[in-house]
Amino acid sequence: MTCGELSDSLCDFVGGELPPERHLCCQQHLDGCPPCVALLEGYRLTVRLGHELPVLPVPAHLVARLRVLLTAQSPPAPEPGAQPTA
Amino acid sequence: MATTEERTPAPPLEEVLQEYAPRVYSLARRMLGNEADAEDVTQEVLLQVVRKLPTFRGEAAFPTWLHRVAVNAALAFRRKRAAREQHRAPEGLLDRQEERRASPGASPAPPERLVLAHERQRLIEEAIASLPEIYRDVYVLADIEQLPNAEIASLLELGVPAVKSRLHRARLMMRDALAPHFEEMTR
Repeated sequence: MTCGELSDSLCDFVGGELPPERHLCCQQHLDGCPPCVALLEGYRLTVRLGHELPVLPVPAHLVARLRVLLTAQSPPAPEPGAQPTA
Repeated sequence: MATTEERTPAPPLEEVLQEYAPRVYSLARRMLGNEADAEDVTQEVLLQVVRKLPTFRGEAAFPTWLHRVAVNAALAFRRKRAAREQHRAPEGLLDRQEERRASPGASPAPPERLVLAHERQRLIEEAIASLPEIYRDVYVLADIEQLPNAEIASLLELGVPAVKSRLHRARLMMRDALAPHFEEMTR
């Protein structure tokens, strides 16, 4: 396995989605390639940082506007068996 | 035939504002990279939530539906916006958080750890905003919202291999943008 092939497999490698033999090839390459180990560590850290991002607070002026709008919005009585659509 | 008792009751206004509004706003803000547009999309989506949530008879499908409505609204808004502008610089994402923290009685000087966390988030948000849209969408949905690839593929009308390919590219771009700050981010 080359470094380029390792890079191309990173998404599936960190997601645990590679077939066992392919995963083993990646692991064997990593065992002898410090630059790819560094790439993998940075890749994993990037994924973790994304996962840890908090929900953004809603601006106060938007909350105030929504409160007025949603209060005025009276939900209609739903039809029996009605399903919402996107 | 469903009875009124079987349906999920409409959520109290405060639940909509506190529980759903931040989720929708965050998704729209990160996908659109623009505060004013995110506000318009949030308003549109929450009005749909208030109208349609009473028709749900179980809660399991609601998060999926909410994501779909929010993503569709953001994509539609972007299509309209594309006609009138090419690019906007990212705005101060964290200003609102600063406003919230600046409540009476709050600690005037946040500990160093909070300053570092704030700086880390600012760097990440800027890196996300700098991603090309096709990569940003997948990154936001996969790594921040943590939706399954199949659901992202459905939302964006892509195949799963395309989602994976874009996600990989997005992560590499994020890594390149953040690599100079990795040391401070892992303190």
